[in-house]
Amino acid sequence: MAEEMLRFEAVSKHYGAVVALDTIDLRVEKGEFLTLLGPSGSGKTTLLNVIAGTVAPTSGRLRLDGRDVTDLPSNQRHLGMVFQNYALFPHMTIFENIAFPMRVRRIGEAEIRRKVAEALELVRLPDVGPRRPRELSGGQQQRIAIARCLVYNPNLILMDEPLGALDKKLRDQMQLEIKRLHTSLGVTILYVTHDQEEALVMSDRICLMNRGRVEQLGRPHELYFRPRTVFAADFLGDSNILDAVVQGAELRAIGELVSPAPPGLAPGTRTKIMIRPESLRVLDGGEGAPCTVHGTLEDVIFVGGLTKFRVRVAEQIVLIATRLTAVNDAASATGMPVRLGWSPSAIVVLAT
Amino acid sequence: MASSRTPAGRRSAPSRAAGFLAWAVYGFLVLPSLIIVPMSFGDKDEFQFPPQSLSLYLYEKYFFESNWMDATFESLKVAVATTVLSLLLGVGAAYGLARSDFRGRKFLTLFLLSPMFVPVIVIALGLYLYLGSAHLTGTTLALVVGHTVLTLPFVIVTVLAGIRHVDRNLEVAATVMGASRWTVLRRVTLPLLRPTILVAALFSFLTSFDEVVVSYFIAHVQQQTLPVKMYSSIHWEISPVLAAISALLTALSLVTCLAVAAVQRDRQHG
Repeated sequence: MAEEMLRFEAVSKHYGAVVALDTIDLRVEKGEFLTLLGPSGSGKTTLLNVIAGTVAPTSGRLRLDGRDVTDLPSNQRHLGMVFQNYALFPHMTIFENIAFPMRVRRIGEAEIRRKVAEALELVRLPDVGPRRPRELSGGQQQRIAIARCLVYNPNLILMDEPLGALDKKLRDQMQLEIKRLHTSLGVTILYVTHDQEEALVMSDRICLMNRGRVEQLGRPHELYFRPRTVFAADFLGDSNILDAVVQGAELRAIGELVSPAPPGLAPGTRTKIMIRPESLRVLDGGEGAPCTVHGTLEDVIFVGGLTKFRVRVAEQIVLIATRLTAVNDAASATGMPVRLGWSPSAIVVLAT
Repeated sequence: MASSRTPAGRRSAPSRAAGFLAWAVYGFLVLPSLIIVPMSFGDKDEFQFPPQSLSLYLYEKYFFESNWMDATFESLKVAVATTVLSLLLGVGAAYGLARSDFRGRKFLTLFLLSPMFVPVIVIALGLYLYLGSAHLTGTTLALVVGHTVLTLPFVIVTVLAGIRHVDRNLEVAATVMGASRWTVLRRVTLPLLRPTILVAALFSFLTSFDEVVVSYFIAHVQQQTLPVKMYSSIHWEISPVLAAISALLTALSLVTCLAVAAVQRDRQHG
């Protein structure tokens, strides 16, 4: 249904013996918000730089809006880019900063004026035109950098950890601001971050990267609820990961039944499973659940709206259960015996 | 500055002694230059300290007698040309060295800076022999070339240091927005380097304007620069006009250094 904006065809990048990108195949649709998520060194920034044209791939082709741009220099790819440190020109006014890409394209003065005013309106800073970048706050500077990208309608806007230098509250606000611009303007955005929450909030799809490869690609919900690997389960959100074994028709972990055996796994197969802390319930006295395990309450951690319960269920194994904080949670005594319950559908079997 | 003091505003004895020593050394260094100043206001055709009465007699002699002005203009001409030439070569070389990666880059950097490590007298002799065989000694061009050999390493070092402070992302941002390499240089890199280039220009000018050794080797009697004429005139007559000229040269250096300091302070605040 959607048209393709960007495609990687078996793109690799090697630095000597180091493999920064290992045969990447990836497609970004027009109007999509795709996030490259991963720890540092996972290759997400290299991938971004290959698109920007500042890093040449060792092999493979890159297509942008239907055209092979692998050998096209940066300045002819018609891209926009937003940096963590804003990269506004300190010697120019805000007006001149936003006008820059249009001046390079030899657009008329009247149209430049109109478009700069429009762009400033779009990021809700209509009056800062005559000022210098250093007179604005970090959040304002980043909004100007975004305006500078929107003003010339590039094929694709690359954002390299654009909110990394901002404090938490401002970051949350800017996430929604960027999302609003994306939805209302229909621009295609490729966003790089190592912040999983940011990726979950903003993305249409997330491309989780690990050691130069695409670990898993999918919608935020899929990645969160159906991670395929231990790495994916561990990187996104909090998770309890356990060793499990198939016994007859059952999958068992910590000596307990955790779920029916998934199809395709022969009896005796050892595997890993994951259950999210919010899918584990601390059961009250007589309360039942499809699956349960006994343990000892080790710790109650109050993190505001949520409370985390650390429950030791075996010598080496501590499970974390999370629930909305109740007023009397603080009274839960550590060392107390508790039961944890869950539904088999919450169990995710991971590839090993 | 207040932070270097104790809260009560007093200093410890060792720090007071260090301060005294610093000022003493400074005084020792600067005193000869300062003695020149009162002497330059003397009214006799001989050196006098302190002068009997104050007058502008020696300054008048400098401006209106003999051919001191010719030498001054020659010096100005050479200094301006040297500044322009060493900026053209030095800024270009520094940009190339800082912003590209090729085999032998480090070696080339060292090579371009090498005149700094060679004694000036050796450079002067080399230039004399080299320019002599090219029949260039005694021309203004020879002086400009000779002085550029001395100022170029300084310009390169200064601009290299300046480029390190230019955020690469600014150049990448401009390129991704569609600017060619030349546009990026003209609209982004060079404007950001302006204070650095100004400092390099002022020092090039001053170095060339004050230069004696190289000029003495390659200038002819007819087209002497000001410092060479001053130096030669000591052999013939010990003219107190030298005091007036020296005072003016000191003032020029002082103004230049203040200008550099102002530019650097501006950059820190900017």
